[in-house]
Amino acid sequence: MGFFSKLFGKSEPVPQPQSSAPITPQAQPAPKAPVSIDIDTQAIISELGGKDNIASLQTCAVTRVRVELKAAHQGSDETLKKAGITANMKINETVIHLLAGLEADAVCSALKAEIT
Amino acid sequence: MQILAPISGVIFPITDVPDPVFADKMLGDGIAIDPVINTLTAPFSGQVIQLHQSHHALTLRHESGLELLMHIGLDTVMLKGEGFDPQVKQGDQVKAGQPLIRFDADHVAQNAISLLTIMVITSQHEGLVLTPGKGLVTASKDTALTADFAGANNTQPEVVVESTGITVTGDIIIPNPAGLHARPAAVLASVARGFNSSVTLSLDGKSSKATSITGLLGLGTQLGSKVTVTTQGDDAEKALEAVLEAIEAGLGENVSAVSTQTEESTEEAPLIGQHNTDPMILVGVKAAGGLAIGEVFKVDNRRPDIPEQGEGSDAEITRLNDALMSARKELEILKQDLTEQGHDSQVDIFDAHLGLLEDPEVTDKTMEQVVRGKSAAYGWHQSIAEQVAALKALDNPLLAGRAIDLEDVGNRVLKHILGVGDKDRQLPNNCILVTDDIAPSDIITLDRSKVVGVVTREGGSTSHAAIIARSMDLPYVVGMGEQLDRMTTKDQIVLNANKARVRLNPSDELIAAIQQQQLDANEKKAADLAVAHQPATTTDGHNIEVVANIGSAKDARESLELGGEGVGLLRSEFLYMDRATAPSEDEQTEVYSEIVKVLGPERPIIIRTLDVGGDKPLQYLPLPAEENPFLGERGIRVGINRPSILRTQVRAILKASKHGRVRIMLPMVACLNEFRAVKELVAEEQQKLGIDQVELGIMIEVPAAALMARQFAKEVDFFSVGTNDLTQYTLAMDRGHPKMASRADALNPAVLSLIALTAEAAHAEGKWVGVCGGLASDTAAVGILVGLGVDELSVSVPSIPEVKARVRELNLTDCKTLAQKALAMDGADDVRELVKG
Repeated sequence: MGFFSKLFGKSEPVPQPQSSAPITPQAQPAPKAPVSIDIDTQAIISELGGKDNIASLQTCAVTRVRVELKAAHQGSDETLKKAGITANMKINETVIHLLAGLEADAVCSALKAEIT
Repeated sequence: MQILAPISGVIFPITDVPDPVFADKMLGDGIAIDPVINTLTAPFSGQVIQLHQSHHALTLRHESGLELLMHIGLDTVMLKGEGFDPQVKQGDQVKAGQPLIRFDADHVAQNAISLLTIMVITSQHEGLVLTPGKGLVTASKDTALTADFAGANNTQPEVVVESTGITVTGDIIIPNPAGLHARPAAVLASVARGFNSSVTLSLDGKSSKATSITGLLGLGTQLGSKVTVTTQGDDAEKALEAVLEAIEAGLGENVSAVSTQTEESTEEAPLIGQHNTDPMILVGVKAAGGLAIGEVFKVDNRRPDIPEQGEGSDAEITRLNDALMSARKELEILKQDLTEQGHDSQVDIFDAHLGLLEDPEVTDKTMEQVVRGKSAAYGWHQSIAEQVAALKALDNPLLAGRAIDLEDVGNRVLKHILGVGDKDRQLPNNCILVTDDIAPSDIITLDRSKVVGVVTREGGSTSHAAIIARSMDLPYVVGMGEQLDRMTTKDQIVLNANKARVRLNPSDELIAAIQQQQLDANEKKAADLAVAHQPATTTDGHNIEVVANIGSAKDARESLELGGEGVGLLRSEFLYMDRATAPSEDEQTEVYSEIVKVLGPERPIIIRTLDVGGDKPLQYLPLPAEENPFLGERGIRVGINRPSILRTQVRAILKASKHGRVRIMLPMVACLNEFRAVKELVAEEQQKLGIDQVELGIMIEVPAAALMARQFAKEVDFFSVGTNDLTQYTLAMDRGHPKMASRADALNPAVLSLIALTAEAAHAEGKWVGVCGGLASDTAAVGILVGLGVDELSVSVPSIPEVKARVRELNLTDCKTLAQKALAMDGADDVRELVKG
C-alpha cells in the first residue's frame, strides 16, 4: 500500500517508446496531478454498519478500497453513490470493494481517519 | 462499430492506466474498465484467436478483421493462471455475450497490481477513430468503445518489402518467466519497428512478425522456449543484433535470475544410469531399431519465406487450386504405390490426408484472406496454423495426431503454391538423413536404396513416422535436441538405433568391425530361416512353443512362412481404431474368422479383448481425460465398465472359434473379481450361442495379478506375461520416458521374480504360461525365461526364426540354473552381464 502512495507522489515523465532504441517500461503510474477528493466519509462508514462494524480497510489494486466487515451490513449502491463512491463490488457478505479510481489511496486514508 | 462493454464497471481512460505499456498505447488504442463483476464476456461474436496460457488475457477477432485484446488486470500474467477460470479455448467461435473468463476478483485484486481490465484494438486500421464510453457501464448492454472506420482502409497499407538486402537468422532462449506476454511483446515490437528490415520470430513451426503483438502472443512462448529470429532487408544484421540483445536483456523485465538457472539444469549428470561422457557419442530416443553406417545428409526443413501480399485474387485463387490439385495427384500416386507394396495401414494415413485437402474450414479461410488481398500461400499457411493450434490446444492425443497430419498436408500444399519442390534434393548413396523433424509422408517416400537411417532433433518414439520407419526396417532415432548441430553433411557416422546412439567420426577399425557384425548377423539370419520350420526343442528334448504377436491376417500369413506355430497374441485394437463407430458383431466375426482360417484347425490362436485406455482413446468411446491414464480405465476395466462393447466382441470371437483353436485373453486384470465377472459373461454367451468351451486366460501385466497367481491359477486356463507393462508397473517407470526408458528393463530381477511366481503357480494347477511381451523376442532373455518355466514364447513376426534357433541351442537344466542365478542378482545390469557371459 505504501508502495503505491509513494509512487503516486512522483511526477517524473514516463519513458516514451522510441522507435530506434530499446525501451524498458515497468508498470508504474501515469503522471497525474493530485485531485482533491469529494466524499462524505461519515455517510460511507455509517452505510457500512458504523465504525464498529469495520474489521479492516486497505487500498488494493490501485483503484480500490477493500473493506472487510464484521457482520454482513452492506450499504445500498444509491447511498454510497450519493456519498461519493461511484461504484462498488460486493465480493461476499463481509467483503466489499469501493471503486475510487486513482484517488483510492486518499479515500482509504480519509475513511481510516473517520473510524479512528 | 459500437463495441459493447465486455464487463460491467467504471470506464477509465487508457492514458490513465498505471502501466506505460497500455497508457502509451504500445499495444494499441482502447479503454480500461474497473470491473464490478467477475466475468468477462464477449463484446461481439467472433473467434478467440489467442488465449494466454495464464488465462488472464485473450484476443477476439470480429468478422470484419478487427482484433480486440482484453486483458484482465495489470501484471496478472505473474499469477500464472491462479484465480482465472477460462470458459473458452483458443480457436473457439463465440457469440456476443458468451462468458470468456471468470475470475476471483478479490484474489486478483489483492495479488496483482490492479484489476483494471483493458480492451485494446490490436489490428491495424488506417484512419481509425475511437470514441470511449463514459461512467458506469453494464456488460453486453452499454457501449464501451465506438470504432469509426470512416475513411479507414481495412487492409494494411501495401508494405513494400525490400527484396534486396540480406537475410540473417539467430536463435535465442526466451528468458522471460511468463514468455512473451503483452509487455515484452510490446517492447519487442517497438524495437523491431526501428528497422527497415522485416523481423520474424518462429517457434515450433509457428511464426510471427515481430511488429505484430497479437502474432507474438500467439506464438505461445514460455520461459526457455528457443525461438529463431529471422531478419531480412538492408539493415538485417543490425536489426538481428538489436532484437537478440533486447530479448536477452529481458524486454523490460527482470530476467537475470531465471536465465542462468535454466542453463545450469541442463548440465547436471544423473547419479545412476549411463550418463554420456564420451563427446563423440550422441544419445537420443529410439523410434525404430537397427544399425547403419553412413554419411550425414542434413536437410533444413524450415519453411521458405512466404510473401504476405498477393498478386491479385484471381491469380492467387488459380495458384491455390493448382496446388491443391497437384497435392491431390501426389497423394493418389503415393497411395497407389503403397497399396501395390501391401502397406495397407499406411494407405489409411494418406486417405486421411486427402480428406484434409477438402476441409472447407481451411480452404474457406484461405479464400477470405485472398479476397482481402493476401497471397494464397499466406492465407493457406495462416489457416493451417490456426487449425493446428486449435487442435493442439485441446490436449487430446488423438487430435494432436491429426494436427501433425494437418501440418504435413499443409506443407505439401504450401510447397506447391510457392513452387518449391523436393526435386532439388539429391540424396547421396548410403546416407543418414539428419533433420529437425520428418513427416510421415516424407519418411515413406525416402529412397531406401540411398537412405540407411534417419536422425531428428524432435519427434516422438510413438509417432506415425516411427511406426512407418519400423515397417520399413529403417533405423530412426528422435529427440537429439541440440546435439543435432554437432553433425554436418558428409560426416561419417555410425547410427546404432537399438541403443539410440550416434557415434561421430568412427575409426576405420570400428566401421570394419560393425560391417563384419552386420555380415555375420545376415548370415545367421539366413541360417535361422533355413530351419525355421523345425520345432524349438532344447538339446535335452524340452519343447517350447514359439508363436507370433500379430495385428492382421497378413501378419498371420507371414508368421506361418517364418515358422510360427500359432498366435500367442492377436491385438484386436486394429479393428476399433480410426473409425467413427464401434465395429459390429458381424464385422468382427468376419475378420476374426479370416485370421483363424489362415492358421487352420490345429494351430492355437489367442485373441486379446480390446486393450485401450485414456492413453489411446477411441472416437466413439469417450473416456474422460485422466490425471494418470496408465493407472486409470484401461484394458479389461473399459470392458467391465461398458459391458456391451465387451459382450459384442466376445460373441464375435466365440463365433469365429468354430474355425480353429481359439482362446480368449483379458488384458490388465488386477483382481479375481474382474476375471470372474468376465468369465460369467463369456459363459452366458457360450450357452446362448451353443458353442463348446473356449479357453479363457489372462495377461499378467499388473504386479497384483502375479502376486495373486496361485488364486488365479485355480480359475484361469492360462497366463501370458505382458513384460512391457509388467515392467513399467513393477518399477513405476514409464517405458516411453526419455530419461527412464533405459532403466525400465524387463530383466530386472524384480520383474523376473514375478514371472517365476506366475510360472510356479500355473504349473501347480496344471496350467501353462506364456510370455507375449517384448522380452520374449529378446534372444538374450530366452534362456532365463525357459529356465523360469515359461512354456510358450509369443514373439514379433520377424524374430520367430531367431528365437526358435536360440531355444535349440539351450539345455533346460542349464537354463534352470541360469534362472536361479538371475533371480538372486542385484539389478538388471547384472542380469544382462550374466547372460552375456
